[in-house]
Amino acid sequence: MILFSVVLFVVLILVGLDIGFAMITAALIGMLFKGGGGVDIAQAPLSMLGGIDETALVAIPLFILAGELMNRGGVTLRLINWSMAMVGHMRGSLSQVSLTTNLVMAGISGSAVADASAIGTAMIPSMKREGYRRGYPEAVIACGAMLGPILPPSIPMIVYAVLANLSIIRLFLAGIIPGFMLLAGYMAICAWQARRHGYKSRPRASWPERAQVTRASIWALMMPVLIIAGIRFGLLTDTEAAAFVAVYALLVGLAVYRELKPGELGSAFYSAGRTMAVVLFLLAAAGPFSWLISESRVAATIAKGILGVSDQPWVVLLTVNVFLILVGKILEPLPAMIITLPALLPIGAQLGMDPIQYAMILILNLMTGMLTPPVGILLFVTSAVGRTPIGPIVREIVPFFIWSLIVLALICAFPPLTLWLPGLGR
Amino acid sequence: MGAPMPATTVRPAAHATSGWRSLVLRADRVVCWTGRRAVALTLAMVLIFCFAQVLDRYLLKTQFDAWDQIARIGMLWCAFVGAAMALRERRNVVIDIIDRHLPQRVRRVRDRLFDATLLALAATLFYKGLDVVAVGNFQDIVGTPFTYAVSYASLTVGMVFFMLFLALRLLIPDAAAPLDAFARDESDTPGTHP
Repeated sequence: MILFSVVLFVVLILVGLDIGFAMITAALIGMLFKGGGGVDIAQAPLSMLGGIDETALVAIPLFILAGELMNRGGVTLRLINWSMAMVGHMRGSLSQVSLTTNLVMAGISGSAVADASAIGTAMIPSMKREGYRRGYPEAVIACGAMLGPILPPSIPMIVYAVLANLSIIRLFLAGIIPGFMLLAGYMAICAWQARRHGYKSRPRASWPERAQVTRASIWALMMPVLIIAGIRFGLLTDTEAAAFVAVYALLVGLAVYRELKPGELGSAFYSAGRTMAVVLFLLAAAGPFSWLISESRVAATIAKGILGVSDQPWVVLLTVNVFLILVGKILEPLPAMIITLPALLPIGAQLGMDPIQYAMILILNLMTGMLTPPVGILLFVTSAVGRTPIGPIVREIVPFFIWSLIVLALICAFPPLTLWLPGLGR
Repeated sequence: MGAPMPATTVRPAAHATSGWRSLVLRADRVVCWTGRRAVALTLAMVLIFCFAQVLDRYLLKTQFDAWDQIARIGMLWCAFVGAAMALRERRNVVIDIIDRHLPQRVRRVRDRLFDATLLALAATLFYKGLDVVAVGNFQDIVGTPFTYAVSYASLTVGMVFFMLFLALRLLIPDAAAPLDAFARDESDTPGTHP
């Protein structure tokens, strides 16, 4: 029956049913026809509520709100100007600026799609005007935005920490080195592409100019520092840090940069609320499906199947990665996490891996799924922003995707890449 | 390929002529107005209570210790009402991988079939959600004057919004979401996701 539910879910999303409701439909059918006379379907609303009724998840709407207030308050624009002054002289300057801006944005909003649409709207038209190949600007923005969930604060990390009962701050710290490795590789790929295709670079900004731009952007640049420092030194919980940064973005937009008007606040709050509702509804909708899977003991069967592939831990880990890449092709990262974690968590324990390293492997793997068709959400957001078909974007994304897989392999092979920072000061 | 569905560009005025349509669209405006304000207010409540927790710890030092519980209730309400608003404004997440290969007429039939299916699902979740609310009525949320019924009612009320919007889509399939100060024309911007 569970297999039928999974197949039904895949068919429903492929024919175009809302993803959340497709999960609920498949779970309800599974519950109704479950062996032993079925299950009372009151379990469905109960597990939907249970899926999101968690205090730690309150950080999600607040980080999304902070991102929205930043965009409307002129923070994003200042970050682009700052990046332009710092890396605008590098080969393929606009692509480098996009990545650097994403790096700073990633340290504030925690949402890949919010970052992709904010930076994409500003940068894709400029890159097109400078003659970048079709699909390349969108590919750069999509890959840059993928840094959002890898670098702290990260919505998927919050969800993972809740599901696996891990420390959110340790997970946040574990993402920093892989995030910078991804960024370094992406920047190198941009430089290589710029050399191949003759993309322009800008004149190098002088040090006084850089200092001036940094002064103008200092309020924006302080945000990630405040978040990490606040949580790391125990002054704020992750949820409080999210509230703090949202209030900070509100005050900076209203009183410092004065680009956020009081009359816009209703619209900003609504827009952020609707965005987070889409995220949380997917989480809630995954609840009944996850319940069905755990009740049917499918998770244990999958875990047993993967562990039985080989006696060699690296082969098992490789199998987990291949399994997740396949899952990431048809499922969004957050529902994928909720549905597959019950099966995958025991494997990590069985392999004797540190739960933080294992978490980073799973998270990075699922995030790369956002770059691959058919369900790669970042492809679709940048495609919509740039009004470019998916095909050319997928072609241009290939080198970035390969580098992402290399970083994934490196964090599998070298635990200190993810464990060194969380281990400091313990 | 898949994408968050863009907001439709058809304007409500095009259909606001006949009697029942006009009435339905006016009701839609009221429901959207209410839903949008509910989403904005509940999110504001989440922010205020979470920030108040910080202020309380370092400045106010009151004995109240359920700031996070109330913020969580606000998040649940914001999530379910907001999800219904996202559906109304076609900002929900769907994969439109086969759309370009389907003739428009088939697509229309499929969309109506999906809307009817979602309506039935929302009605089921609403009905079964009432049982959950009834159970929640006997469980106190520690530190607050509320019971879990207040949290659980978020799903049932959210499903009411879903049902209203889906019924509207079945009656007037191409009715665009009404615009107001909280929701401007966003047809050029992409959908939303983590």
